[in-house]
Parts: sequence; C-alpha cells; structure tokens
Amino acid sequence: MKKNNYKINSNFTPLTPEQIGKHTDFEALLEQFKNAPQEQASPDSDAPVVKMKPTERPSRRWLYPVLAAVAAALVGVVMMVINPAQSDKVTGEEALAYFASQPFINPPIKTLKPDYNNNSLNVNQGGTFSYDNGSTVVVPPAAFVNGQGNLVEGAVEIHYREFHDYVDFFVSGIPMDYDSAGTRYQLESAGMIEIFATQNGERLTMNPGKSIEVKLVHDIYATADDPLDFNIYRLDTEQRNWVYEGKNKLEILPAEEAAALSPTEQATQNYEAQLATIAKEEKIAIDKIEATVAKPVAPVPPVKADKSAHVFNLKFTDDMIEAGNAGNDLDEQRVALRNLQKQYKNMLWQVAPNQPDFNENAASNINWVDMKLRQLNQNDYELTLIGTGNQMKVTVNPVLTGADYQQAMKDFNKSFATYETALADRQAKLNAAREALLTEIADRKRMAKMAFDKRYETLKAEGKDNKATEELIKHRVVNTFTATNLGIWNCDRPLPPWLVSLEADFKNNQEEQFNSNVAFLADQTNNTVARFYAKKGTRVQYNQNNKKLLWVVTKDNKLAVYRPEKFDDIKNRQRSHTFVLDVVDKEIETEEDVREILQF
Amino acid sequence: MLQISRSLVQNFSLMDSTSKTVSDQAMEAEWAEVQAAQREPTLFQPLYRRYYEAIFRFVFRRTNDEQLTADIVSQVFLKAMQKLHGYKFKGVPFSAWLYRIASNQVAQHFRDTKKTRTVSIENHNLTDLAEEIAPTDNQHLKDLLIRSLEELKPIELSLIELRFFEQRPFKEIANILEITESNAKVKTYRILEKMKKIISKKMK
Repeated sequence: MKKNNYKINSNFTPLTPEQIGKHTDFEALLEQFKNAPQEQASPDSDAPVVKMKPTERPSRRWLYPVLAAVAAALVGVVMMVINPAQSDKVTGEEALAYFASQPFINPPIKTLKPDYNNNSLNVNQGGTFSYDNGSTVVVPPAAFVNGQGNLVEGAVEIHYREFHDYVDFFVSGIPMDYDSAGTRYQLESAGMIEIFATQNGERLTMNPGKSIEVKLVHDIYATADDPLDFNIYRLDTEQRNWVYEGKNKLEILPAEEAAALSPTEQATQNYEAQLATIAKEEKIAIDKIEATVAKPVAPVPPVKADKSAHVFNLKFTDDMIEAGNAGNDLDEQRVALRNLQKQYKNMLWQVAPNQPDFNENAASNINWVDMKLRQLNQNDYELTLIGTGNQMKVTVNPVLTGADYQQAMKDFNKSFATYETALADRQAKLNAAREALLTEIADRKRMAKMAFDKRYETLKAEGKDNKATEELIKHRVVNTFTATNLGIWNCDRPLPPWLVSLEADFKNNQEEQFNSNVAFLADQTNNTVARFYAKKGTRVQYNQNNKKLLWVVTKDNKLAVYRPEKFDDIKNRQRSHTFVLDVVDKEIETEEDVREILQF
Repeated sequence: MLQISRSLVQNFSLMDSTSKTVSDQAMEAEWAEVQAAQREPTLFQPLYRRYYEAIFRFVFRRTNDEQLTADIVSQVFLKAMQKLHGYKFKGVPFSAWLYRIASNQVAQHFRDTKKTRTVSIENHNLTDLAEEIAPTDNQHLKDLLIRSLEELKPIELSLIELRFFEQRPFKEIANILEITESNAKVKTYRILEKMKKIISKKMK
C-alpha cells in the first residue's frame, strides 16, 4: 500500500495556555483585516487570501511601526463608523432606549379595553374555573393576601384572559422579546395568560407558598419534526423582562381533524380519491348502458282453454274496449284486440283462476245487455257484464282451442325466436358498449397512475416524501404549569435570529413619514409579534421565506399595513428599504376590527 | 493471529463525550455575536478570544512548530473575518466553520511548502486507538499502529486524529468535515478495519 508522507510525533507535548496566549493579538488581526484585499469567495472555498510562501512568512513585528503611523487616522475612521451622529442610522441602543422610556406593557390602541373572564371565588374554599376552550385554572384555598400582607377571606374576583396569536399579542401591548444575558431574543408563544385577583376593587397578591395550577389549551401550528420544546416565562413588570420559570409541560391532545399529510401522502390520497371517483363513475355508466339499448318484449305464449274453467264466448267491438293498464294506448289496444279476434275466430274468454267471488250461475243466467273489456296486463283483462240495474266484473284471459291454439303456438314460436335474436343482438350491443366503457375506464386509470407516479417521483426528488417538511400541522395542546404569582405567564421559546436585516424607513403613499414610533411585524410561521422602533434608519429583521405582515398604528388610531406580497419587492442582500404602508381607512372599535385588517 | 474486536459501534457510543457538544441556546447566542461581527468587525473579538486557543492547538498538532502555528492561526482568523459576511447559521457551532478553515489552511501550507505534515499522538490516545483494534495491551501493536497510520489517506488520518487523538465527539467531527454524523461513524469504522488489515499483514 502507498505510504503517505507523515511525520508521526508520538511524544507530543501540548502547549500551555500561557504559551498560546502570548500569540493572541486581535488589534493586529483587525489591522491586517482592514488592510488586506476584501474576500469575495464563499465562506467554504479553499482559495486562500494571502499565500504564504516559506521564505516570505510574514512577521507581525515589522507591521507595528507602520501601524503606529496610521493609528490616529484609523481610530478617527473607526469612531466615525461607530458613532452614527452624522448618519441616519438608528442604533440598537436608541431603539432600546425608546422602548425603555415607554410603559412596559403598552397597548398600541388605547381605545381597545381588555376583555377578561371574571369569576367569583370564595378564598376560604378555593375553586376550579373551566373556560370555553377547555383551559382550567385551579386556585387553592387561602391563596391571596392584600396590600398589607394580610390573608384575604371571603369573596374575591378572579380575572383571567388568554392570548393566542399575533393579534392578541399586538393588542395587549405585552412585549414578546426577551433579554437573556444581554442578548435579545424574540419569543414564540404556545399560549399566554393573564390572571389577577381583586377584592372590592383592590388588587391582591399571591400568598407566598401558594400557587395556581393552569392548564392552558392552545392551537399550535408546527412542522412535523418540531420538538415543541417550550418554556414557562413570567412577566416581571418591575424588572421589565420575562423571567424563566422552568420547562413547559406540553401535551398534544388527540387530533380532532386529520393531521396534514406530507406532499407524497397527499398525492397518494388524491390518487386514491381519483380512483374511487373513476370506480363510481364506472358503475353509473355501466348501469346506464342497460338503458341505452331497448330491451325486446318477450312474446306471451298462447293459453289453451281449460276444460274445467268457465269460458265466455264474446266478440268485442271497439266501443266496448276501455283504456287499460297494459302500457299501450286505447287505440292500440283496440287495434290489437280487433286483430286478435280476426286471427282467432274461435277465441274464448276464460275466467282467470283464484276468483272465489265469481258467480258462475249468475254469469250464465242473467240476461246481460252490454259488456266492457279493459286490459289489465299482458294476459289479464277485466270483463264487466252489464245488466239492467246490475253488473258483474270478472278477470278473464283470452284462450284458444284446437287449430287456433296450434296456429297460435306456431306464431308464438316464431315470435319467440325473433325475440331471442333481438335479445342476443341487444346483449351484443350491451357487451360492446361495456367493453368500450371498460377500455375508457382503464385508460383513465392508467393516465391517473402515470400522473401520480410522475408527481410522486418529483416530490421525492424534492425531498417532500416525509412529514419533516415546512408544512405546518395544527395541534391542539395543553400547557400545564404552576403560576406562583399573579400576572402574565407565557409558554414560550426563544426564536433563532431572523436572517434578513436591513435599514428601514416607513412612509405612506404620499411619501410622508409616519409619526408612529413602533412598527410591528408578524410572521406566519412563528407565533409572535415583533416590535421595531419605527424611525428612519432603524434595523428591521425578518425571515426571508415566511409570509409576513408589517404595520404601524397611525396618529388617528388607524392601521397602516405592508402586505405580504410587497415583501417580494425587497431584493436579496438589499441593505435598506422604505416600507410604503397603506393606511386602512377603518375606525377601530373592537379587536375584531383589528383582526379583520391584519388578516394575512 | 490478531483478534479483531467486533463491538466497535458500541465502543463508539461509550467513548462519546458530550462535554464538547454545544447547546442550541449557546449556538443561538453565538449566532447573535456572529451577526454583530458581520456588521462591525471589531465585534469579532469575543469570537477570536473564545476560539484562539482551540484553533491554535488544532494547528499545532499538525505542525509541531509554535511560530509556524501562530502564523497559520493568524491567517485562519484573517480568513474567517474576511469570509464572515457570507457565514450563515445552519444549526452547527461556529467553531466547526473555524476548524474547517484551519484544516484547509494547514493543508494549503503543506501543499505550498511540500513539507511533511505532523501527526501528533499522546500515549493515552494511542492506547484508546489500540483498544479499538485489539483488546490486548501490546507495545508491539502500538508500534504497528503508528506504522499503519502512515498508510492512511489524508482524510482518513484526519478522522482518526479528530476521533482518537483529539477526543472529539462524532457530531463535532461531522460538523468539521461537513458530513453526517452517521457517515462519520461509518467512515471511522471502515478506517479501523483497514488499519486492522494493515496490522495483520505486518504481523505475518
């Protein structure tokens, strides 16, 4: 095997931190950075900026005299960059200073008053409150003290409200950013509550050692691989910050609706639905085919006269024939009977069986003056014998004897053969129609399968064959935590920094700047609302790929919005942007008005 | 005949040190620092201070020359500052990116100078590696081990160095080499198999 050229040092002695430390020199590095040509290649390219040749290995020692000569000028340049006094830039410190000067909880639309669920509680007993969405709050006995620190007794009012989405957060004025060891994070919420207690209008505080058990129900939208790792934070209005109180216990409730499918699962489901539709249409079409080719009517065999039955020897004229139920009209019936009587001159009318009320004697002995005949079906007729003041109805069948019967049988056999031929023809036509239909169905299924296979492969190639996609699935969750104080409690997690950052200005359609000091931004993928100091030169940050909405509250309490589609106007790597917001000319009277305007 | 251990995968998990992995929260906080440095180069200093020693040690193991190492490390951080504007947080520690630059700089140096790069081994690291190959403590085996390293390709040697001589967890190795964690484990296993075969041949 080929040997590579390595120098194995098996007696390696590591350097001490002090030995290493003496080589650190950030100022020199900074100078080198400022003097070196700027690198344009990607972060992972191998192209070195400065080629190091062994004979020209630079020693920083010769740099120092040069640096000393230009240090004063460079310091001036650096200070100009850091101090934006001459520029429009709004620094992070200015933004923080503005927000620090404002009330910590600062509802932006003062006319909208908070809406609480208010319940009475006997402090001595405690109580459990259940809210419409399934949230519950359990207050133990002796939970509150008054302003003097004395235990409160008797009836108190419990005031409770929940916050679930960006509109709730915006209207409430509760900040959704969090300072952790000097780094600011935007918090994404899985539900927030405010709870406080009063007695005779006086606010109470929690009795030390007591706590309220909260089960907060919330609908969360998350990708399939989201660990839903939320924490519990309490809003400390004195420290003006969220205080981490521990991990949230989040339980996903059984799905009330089907979880969203991955794209490939959706495509499969669509394909199966398509097949089911085709099968249904196939059945309907096959049923319809039966009706497309008329069914021949089978001839009725002649009936031979029964010697034991009563027969009438009757000849009917057209006026004796009444309209019947045989399906053909009266004229046709008359013609048919006329032909029958002509063909079979010795045709008789036999009393049909199973007529116990037929009075043979009366039929034979009464002098009937008239008669009527009405066809009931193919073989049955209703005979009405009319006397003077009475009549008799009896069902009769035309019957034949002797040569008539034999001739009729010959005719019947001929007709029946014709009928069988017609039947076979019909069957052939039906089979052909069915065959054509099945071929068409098979084609449709084949096309559907081809389209599905192609779609599935495309989705797989795009990596969309599992649930770990960006698609959001709705979960109903229960957050369980213990509130050791009254106030605002949030189930949150800090979000990674939003990657797009640019200098912003905010104007209306008349190119006028807004006097609003705060701009708000909601991102459809993250359940939060961000605030920015809305002055020219402020830095606005957001996620490039998520659908988002930006808005301000105008001086006259209206909303001016920058709609999601307008973010497409901002190009990649753009350093600054003027947000031209559209003022929505609608008076805001309720939170529903806000929700309607900010819908996206 | 050399007995080959078959329980390598289990051994890997026992060796995994979680102390070098970086928490998500720390990564997020660091990303904020990186972004600050992207806007203002002077704010790169906290990152420089945090990683200088680690990068120095990384390079020193490969050069065994203190002054050369100082120069290469200077180039590493210069390059890092110059490329910082293009850095994007991808859920891996910032240090992994620095190690990649350092690794490339070292390789570039030895290509340019056509000199031999050093592989630094401490005795206890060699013992760990030997145990992976065969459970018996055998100085002869260790000598053969060292000789087998010479027959590894540069990337194979890097994996052995990172895993056994620098005691890095697979997750960190994957981040540095830009491969998946499972790939890092599989590759390491195959390299060990290769070394066993080399050693077996040498023992005959």
